[in-house]
Amino acid sequence: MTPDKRKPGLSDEQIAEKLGLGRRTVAEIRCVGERNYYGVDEWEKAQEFKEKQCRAFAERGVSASTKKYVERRKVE
Amino acid sequence: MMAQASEKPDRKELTQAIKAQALKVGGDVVGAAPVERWDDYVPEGYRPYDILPNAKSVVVVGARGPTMGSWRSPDSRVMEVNGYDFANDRAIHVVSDFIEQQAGYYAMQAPGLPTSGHQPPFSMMLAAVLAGLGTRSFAANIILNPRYGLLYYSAAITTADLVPDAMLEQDVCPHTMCIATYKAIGKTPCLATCPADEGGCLDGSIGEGGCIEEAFDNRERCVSRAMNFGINSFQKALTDIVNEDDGETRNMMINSDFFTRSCASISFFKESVAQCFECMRVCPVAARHRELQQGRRGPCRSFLSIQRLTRNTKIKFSRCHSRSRSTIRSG
Repeated sequence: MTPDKRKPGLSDEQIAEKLGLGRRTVAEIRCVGERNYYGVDEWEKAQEFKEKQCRAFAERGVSASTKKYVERRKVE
Repeated sequence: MMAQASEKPDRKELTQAIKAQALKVGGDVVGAAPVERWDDYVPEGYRPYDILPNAKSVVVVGARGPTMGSWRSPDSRVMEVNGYDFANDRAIHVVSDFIEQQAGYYAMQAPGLPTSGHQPPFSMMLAAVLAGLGTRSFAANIILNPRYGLLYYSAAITTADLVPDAMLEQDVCPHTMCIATYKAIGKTPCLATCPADEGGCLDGSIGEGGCIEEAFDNRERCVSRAMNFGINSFQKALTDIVNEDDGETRNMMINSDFFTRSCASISFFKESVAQCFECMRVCPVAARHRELQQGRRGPCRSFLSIQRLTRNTKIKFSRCHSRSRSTIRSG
């Protein structure tokens, strides 16, 4: 990507400068925000997703993922 | 044999010797980039010369993770514990020692692991791109190497001035098979496997030029899958445990499979990285490295459905070049 098209995130230092906060304060807020974004149920769901997806691929290959979209297209 | 530190080899000879060493000790690919390439991509404080004063070059080593056998296992837990064996980290450690002891330049392993939340001091993904080893993909921005697809990367920052590799001119993602699939069903295989609009992580679109027009990755959800058991899950489970009033329930939570695996991940570390492979499992880039061919020609068996699906789809896109007009979003 060319630099003018990229949308990079800000560093803790850049956020701190914009908000007038200390870098460590920004880092702590960010870390807690990242950790708290999803509850433990999302981690439980992750196991179900992987188990299901992995077995489906072993049985049916890539069509395990694409088939439902093929069928939706047929209905359309 | 390299010249000793007192008599420094020329630039080309040194670069070749370092690359040969990297491949010898477990790397599948190796590239070099001058530190100035970071200036346009990362803020001050995160550039190679901020980490090692007077750094001139970065050597990047990529290594494959799971074996073809592991890719074939129908049990996702196999990949959680076997998927990644740190071959790239071992190789880059040897490379750093080699540069210092044989060539007489400072070298250090670039710090890749997060030291503050999800933010690493140095991005191995960016390093791989800048060293010409791959380009970003729809699949959570994973860097795909044109020959091997998914690789794990480590880097060494050094004061040695090495001959740089050119960055890739053509994007590895999307594969032509994925462009055809997108045209047929509106999704690439990875986007269909983990769709953000149905509780997954990924979304995106392919532009008229056949390149990534927009890519979205729900990073926090991706963390819950790719780092399913580790510090995150331990902290979350611990919060629930200490807030549980009933002693019997608390005891069950402590001894549960979920909390036990979280503890194991922290203890053994190995289980705490690279635990979800589902978007990569369906990626046609370098699929031959995930499935034994045994003399067969044509696409891997797992990808035959795509071949059928796209048989009548004409691809009118001309392949795009890297550093293209794409937008990467992260949620």
